[in-house]
Amino acid sequence: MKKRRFTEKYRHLIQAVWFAFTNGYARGYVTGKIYTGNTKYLCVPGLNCYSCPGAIGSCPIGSLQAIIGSNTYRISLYVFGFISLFGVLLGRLVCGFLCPFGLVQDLLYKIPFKIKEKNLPGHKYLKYMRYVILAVFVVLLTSLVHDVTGTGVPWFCEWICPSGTLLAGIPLITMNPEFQAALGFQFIWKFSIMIIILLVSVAYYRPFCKYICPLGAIYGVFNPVSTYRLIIDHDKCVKCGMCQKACGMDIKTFETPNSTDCIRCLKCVSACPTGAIDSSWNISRRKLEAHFLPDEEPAANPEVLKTTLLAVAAVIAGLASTITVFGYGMQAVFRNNLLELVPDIGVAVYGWLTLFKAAVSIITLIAGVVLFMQRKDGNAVTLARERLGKALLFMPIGVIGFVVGLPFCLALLSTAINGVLISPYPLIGLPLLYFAARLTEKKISDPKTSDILWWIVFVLAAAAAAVTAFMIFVVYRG
Amino acid sequence: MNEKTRKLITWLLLAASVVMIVLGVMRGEPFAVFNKAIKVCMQCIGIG
Repeated sequence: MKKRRFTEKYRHLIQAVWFAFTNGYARGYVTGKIYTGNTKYLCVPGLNCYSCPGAIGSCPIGSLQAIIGSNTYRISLYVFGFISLFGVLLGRLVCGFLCPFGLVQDLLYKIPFKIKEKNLPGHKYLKYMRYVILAVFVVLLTSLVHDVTGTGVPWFCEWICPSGTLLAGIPLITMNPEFQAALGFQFIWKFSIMIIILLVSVAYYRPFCKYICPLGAIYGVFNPVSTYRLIIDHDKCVKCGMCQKACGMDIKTFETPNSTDCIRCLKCVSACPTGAIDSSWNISRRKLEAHFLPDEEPAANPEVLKTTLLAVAAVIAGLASTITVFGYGMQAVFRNNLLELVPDIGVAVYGWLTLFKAAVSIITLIAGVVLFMQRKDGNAVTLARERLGKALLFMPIGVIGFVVGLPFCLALLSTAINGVLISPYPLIGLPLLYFAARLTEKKISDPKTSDILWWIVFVLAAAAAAVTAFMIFVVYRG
Repeated sequence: MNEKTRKLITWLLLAASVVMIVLGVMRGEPFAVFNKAIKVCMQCIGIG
């Protein structure tokens, strides 16, 4: 019982921190204006209206409708790519941890009330309504019904989305008299829907997520194949049903751990009396710990600590380089704030920040590789030389490629239109380097591992570098 | 679905997602998203 309380508390803390982070433009709540910085090129994972005064990113469903409804595109690869990426990586973990409206419903359900039920009457059929809303309001109506300019209207945002009404509508209308003057039937309709959903959320667990949310409908489809999954140890499971009892979404976790309805709140994990439910991430973490921390007292072995540092360094390098590219918009936010605070030094500071991040990425990656090479326990270096031979060259090649590729990426970014051009090297090169590292590790532990996969990865990495070089050539020639 | 197939699907979807984002960027979609996101969405707040 104690463990369960801790888990919920931890989850709500993550929800709150994420909410504060993605809605962190505090000035918006004071001025009644929305944020207009470059981070709005990027989609956030949860249903977070981009017209919320604090929002620093774009709502995926709003963006999807904006592109589908535009008379230029009709189909959105960019936004669906984002949704798909979040879906493959996290599935509906987004709903449980990273959705502001999910947090609102979670908090409302904590209000003491005489009726506390999981499902609305007709749940069996109602739960399919979110797919209908996705198909009809998000896709069909938006793409088929156009105004006089040929632009589709975002039907879901316009007639349903309670998140937009609550997080964007109410604060903006409260602070802007011109919006108050324009209130009419549509607002009454949306406000009523919001109130109904909020009131129902007090008595029933997350009704919006269960029956209405089109974003949850998409992420749910990814649940069975996302990197984050729940795994049942059938040797431990006694089918007592405690997981279903604890589950607000009323899922028989022991039968369908990766149900499309599961929002990954992890109450079932805490509730299981035999510890039979675990997540794929936890299992991977334990495998890594067993690999890198094989001793009973790992802290006593400095060589093992070095290896652990390798992992930490590699993670920092990966994060730093990823932030350099994907977080370009975030950097621009910081730059804008700097320019406002200290107008004269903003651009210079921005340049130094970029260089600093590049240096951090490169140094940590090299440090990680050096640490790996110095690792002595398990004779890793000797074994690697014996079993990998020339394949071991991937390390210096990878480091050189990274060191050469990253500055060019930065150069590309600085010359790109509004800084949105994303270089293919970090996009393709970094995951491939990661693949190569994993394959190398596998090869060390199992000499029978085929070389073919490694060579495919190597060729693809080289291709990514070649494409980058070509883009550099095109950009500079232009 | 066995574990091997599931892993293959996961990686294929991951690659497809990255490719879609890159293609979307090449088509200029981020500008459309940005232009929508930096103006108050009247439909979203209920007065559109």
